[in-house]
Amino acid sequence: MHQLRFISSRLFLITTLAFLLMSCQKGELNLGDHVINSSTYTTLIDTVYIQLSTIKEDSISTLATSNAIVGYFRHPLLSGQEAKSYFSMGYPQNFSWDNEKQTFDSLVVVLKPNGYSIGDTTVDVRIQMHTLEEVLETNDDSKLYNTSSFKYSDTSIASATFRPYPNENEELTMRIDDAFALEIINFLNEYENHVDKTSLFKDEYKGFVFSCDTSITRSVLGYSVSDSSAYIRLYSHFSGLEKEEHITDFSLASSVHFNQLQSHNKSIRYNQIADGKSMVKSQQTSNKVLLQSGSGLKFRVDFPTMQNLVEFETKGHIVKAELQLKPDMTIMNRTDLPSNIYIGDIYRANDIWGYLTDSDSNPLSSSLYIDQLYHEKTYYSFDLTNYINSRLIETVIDTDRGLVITLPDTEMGSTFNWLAINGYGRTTRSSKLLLYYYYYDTE
Amino acid sequence: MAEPHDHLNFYYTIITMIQNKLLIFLLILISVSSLAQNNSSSSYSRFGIGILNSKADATNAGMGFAGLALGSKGYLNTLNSASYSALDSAKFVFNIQGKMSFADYQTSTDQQSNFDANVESLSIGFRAGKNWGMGFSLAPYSSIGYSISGEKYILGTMDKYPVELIGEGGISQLSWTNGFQVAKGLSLGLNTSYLWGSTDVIEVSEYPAIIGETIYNKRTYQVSSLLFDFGLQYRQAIGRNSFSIGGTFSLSSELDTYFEHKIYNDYSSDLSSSKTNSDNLLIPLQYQAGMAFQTHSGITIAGDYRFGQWHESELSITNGEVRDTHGASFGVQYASPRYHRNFFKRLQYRLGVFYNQQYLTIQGNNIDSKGVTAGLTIPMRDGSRINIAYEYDTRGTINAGLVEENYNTIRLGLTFNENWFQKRKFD
Repeated sequence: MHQLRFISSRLFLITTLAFLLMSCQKGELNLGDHVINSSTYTTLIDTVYIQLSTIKEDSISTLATSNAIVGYFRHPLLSGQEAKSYFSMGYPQNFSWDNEKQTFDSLVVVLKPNGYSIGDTTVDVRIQMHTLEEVLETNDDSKLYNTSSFKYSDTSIASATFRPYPNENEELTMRIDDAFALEIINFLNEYENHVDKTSLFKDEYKGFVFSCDTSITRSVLGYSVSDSSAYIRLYSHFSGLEKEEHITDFSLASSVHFNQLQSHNKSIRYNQIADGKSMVKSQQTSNKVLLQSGSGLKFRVDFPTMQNLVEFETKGHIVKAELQLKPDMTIMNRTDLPSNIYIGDIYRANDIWGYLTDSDSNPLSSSLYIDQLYHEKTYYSFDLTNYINSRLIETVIDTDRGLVITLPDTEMGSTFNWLAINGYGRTTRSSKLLLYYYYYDTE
Repeated sequence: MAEPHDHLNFYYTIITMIQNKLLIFLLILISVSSLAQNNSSSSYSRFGIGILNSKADATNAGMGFAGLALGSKGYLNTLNSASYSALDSAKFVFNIQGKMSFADYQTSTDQQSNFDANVESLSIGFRAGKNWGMGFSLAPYSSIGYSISGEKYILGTMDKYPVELIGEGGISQLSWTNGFQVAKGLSLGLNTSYLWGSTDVIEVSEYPAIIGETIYNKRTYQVSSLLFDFGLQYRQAIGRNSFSIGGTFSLSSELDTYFEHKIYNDYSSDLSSSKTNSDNLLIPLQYQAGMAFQTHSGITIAGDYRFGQWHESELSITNGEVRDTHGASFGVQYASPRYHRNFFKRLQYRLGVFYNQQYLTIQGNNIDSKGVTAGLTIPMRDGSRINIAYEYDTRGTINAGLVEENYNTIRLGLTFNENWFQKRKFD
């Protein structure tokens, strides 16, 4: 009994002591930079050779982009570029015509701006509407491209000259030639009860193209393509005791629509890129590369000296790799800079594998830094830490493998957005790869 | 010579003891797990094998860690193995000791504080035969514990990145102590110790400014060795008082060192990993000598001197050198020889001072520590004791970007003196 009491009293004492003392706290001692001595260091290497080259996608699908662009402008590097927009016309669903009571008033085409414009909008544009002489149909692959074209009549059936205010969102309304309008009414009347009236209509009215008068137009404007924003409207009225207005709409959005995008000056090096497998090194084009959505220009970033960098990995690690792409701000304006560009894996013959992803498997996006004062530090930045580190552990470094920089797919077929990037090795404002290298001593 | 049945009786006693004290041994196990951490917090513990710990019991710690010449009477004088011969033949002594440290760190520009607490040591001692005292103890030999944050330049740029150095570990010492009285007043002792430990040193480099990967550079050292030290005590009565001398001598010992180096980040598998048997470290020859004077009125005066031939140890010290160490302790104690009804008159009181050289100089600065101590023992009715020691200790310098460390440490020891052997006679 005495023994038990003896144990329990001591048990209590010891446990208290043990548990009190086992809880240990530690603070952190902040010694500033002068005391940390270790055999490791981190250094910045910004002289890695990178090769930038412009490439061109053979053709860009411009079918059904929901945006039409029309106009002409002079690009500072590519010179004259023109956009035409093709539409087919839908059969009107609610058409009826009473020859005795109904009177034709007018036929108009309505296009609603989407806010997009490029070029000089301080001068008038002249937009013209022509009828097609070939039926507007997709290719065998069910697509139409920036390079596709269809024959159209020389004479226009509607036109408008106006000063563009793309941000004001004011609809463009053009009156279509009355003779053409009456022809449509007659055709519809004649075949009203025909079983094949839709296809007969399609054969007769093959479609339209909106183009511009390149002699005066200096900008390209964008219009949205939907049933409510792009249509042809027939105004008529019934005569009776009171005049009764009647409207019939022909859809421009329900069927085929695409943009034809052309660069006219073939003496310019960028415009000579023959096919998707060719590339033009930045050294051949004033140490610049060019990216443009409508014309399919993209550029590659290659690392010809990647093999040299492998030695880094034996005694250290790249803790950060940053690709800095510097726009040529001598020819670009702040407002021209695309807010986002993408980066992907590209191989021999410009075979694109896909977008790069970050450690969370999200597509790697660029960060745009703007130097408001001098544009010295205006650049797009990509975090290539994962990419470079994984390249360096490849068993054989394949120098045919590089990176491709593109604009978002959504802009491709319906804008002329562009970006000129300085190449490597210029005296100022070169694009470069920054490697932050952590060296460790394995002794 | 003891008769055979005495031997049987002895072993039987041990078995009973183990059964009865199973719970206490379980607690020992719990404590061992915390002992293995060897917690300390000193920026100087990042050099060499860390900060060397005194093996002293809280009783000696109150006297400036002096007491090489004192016998193990009522407590375990772990400073000198020869003292175990003085253990009471009827008692089983068990000691558990912990410490709490409030630290204050001063650099030329900054000031910080810290708190540490942990179990410091466990020891047992008993009479194993006539004139023969035996014991076991577990205590830290050296301790490493620091967390230092600083900055480094990204070379070739104006940008800095934060670096954190974290060290944790140390060397533990498990000792088997034997003390023999070989002649009247003369005792010899042998301490056989197994030293082992594991230390992790991690350097964490972070790159928040450039959103770079965080790199962990981790070195793990595992060491182990046997260590032998010898003790001597001689005691001479001078009238009703006594004078004694004591000394210990520790042979140099090579630490088998196993080294693992790993560099990793948060994303991939190890960037680098290597395991090697690295160059062995050497714990050098060390000796200590002390004397004590004890009066019949209960006053004890003790003084010790210590020497360590650390220049032989071949430790590599970043920006510094190893050097031989000298150290000294001096302490006084008052313990009334009679039993008093008054609680305060029953207590034992101690005071002391000490000076220790650490085995390193950094950028020409000697790293020394010096301090004052005070102690108190509360004797319990059954012979057990509660020992409390307070220590104020200052270490290092603020020169050359180093740290001056000031510690207020309280040690608490519980010494159980149990009448196990005596109790057998009543069974």
